[in-house]
Amino acid sequence: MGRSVRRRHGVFLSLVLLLALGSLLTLPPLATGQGAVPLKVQVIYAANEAGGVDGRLGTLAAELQKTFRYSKYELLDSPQGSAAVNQGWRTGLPGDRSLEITPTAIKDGEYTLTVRVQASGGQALVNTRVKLKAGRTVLVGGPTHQKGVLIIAITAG
Amino acid sequence: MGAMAHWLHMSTGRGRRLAAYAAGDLAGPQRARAEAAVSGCPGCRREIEAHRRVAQTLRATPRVTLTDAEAGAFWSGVERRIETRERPHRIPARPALREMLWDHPRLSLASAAAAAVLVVGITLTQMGGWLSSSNGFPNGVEVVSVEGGSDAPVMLFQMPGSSLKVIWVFEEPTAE
Repeated sequence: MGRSVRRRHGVFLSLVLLLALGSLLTLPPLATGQGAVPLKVQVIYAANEAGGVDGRLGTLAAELQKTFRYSKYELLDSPQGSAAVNQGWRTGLPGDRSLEITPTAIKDGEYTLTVRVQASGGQALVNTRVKLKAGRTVLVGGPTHQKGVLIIAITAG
Repeated sequence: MGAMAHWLHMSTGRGRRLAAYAAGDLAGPQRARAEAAVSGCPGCRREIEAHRRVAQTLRATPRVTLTDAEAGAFWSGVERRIETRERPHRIPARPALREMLWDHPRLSLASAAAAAVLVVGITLTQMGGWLSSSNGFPNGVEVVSVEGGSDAPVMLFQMPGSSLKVIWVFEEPTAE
């Protein structure tokens, strides 16, 4: 192999390695910003009775209809708030129940939340830990209400 | 009109039948049908004539044969020509690292590609990982753990076609 060809390959390899090193050094710091987590909750009454779909549910209505087979979806309440990491945010639910959401971590636009639903007597109905990307929704459903059930849509970010 | 009929015959797959007819491979009703088609198609007749000329030419070509002496000398000649060719240079059993990485263009490029892949991998790992996001976190929702109350079993599900994950609590109906 000619000396000039070797030299070219050597220069090319050196440039690539320098580029690699530079990329590593200029990486942004890990996104571990710790701020308040915006929380949005929609409390929905679902039942097989007349009433149809509440227009205020927006795009969530179509997803609910794909997931469940109820004929009525009514938005009862839509509390919003925010909570810092390891600080709980609480809101009331129909039937003297309560919902408590505690963010436990924020990383790269993903929120880790502890979600607790408590019955009227204070006993836990469900205790769960979820990871949500910003703007994504998880549903907690099943608590009975009137002739149907409650479905709680929880969105973070 | 005749040219059109011939084109139509050839387009509809009759060319192969004409070749078989020219070779005398058709019999009975197939042969009769071919003859009827050929009678009204001058182009088909020319096609058949061409097939026949090719067949005659192939039959007239003498076979290539080797005499015993030629056959006996063939392989020895091949081996002799292989033996007299220049042998390749001996490759060192253990090339130096510099020779492997620096002087060899393919290895140089492979090293560069490996370095690039390494950088991308480290970058993704440091930034939180696409891998975990795309595999275990497909809809932006991951239920890490879930437990129900003592009288409220829970179920986690997601319906096909829906992006929603549902934690369902089986609560005993109570009078509200």
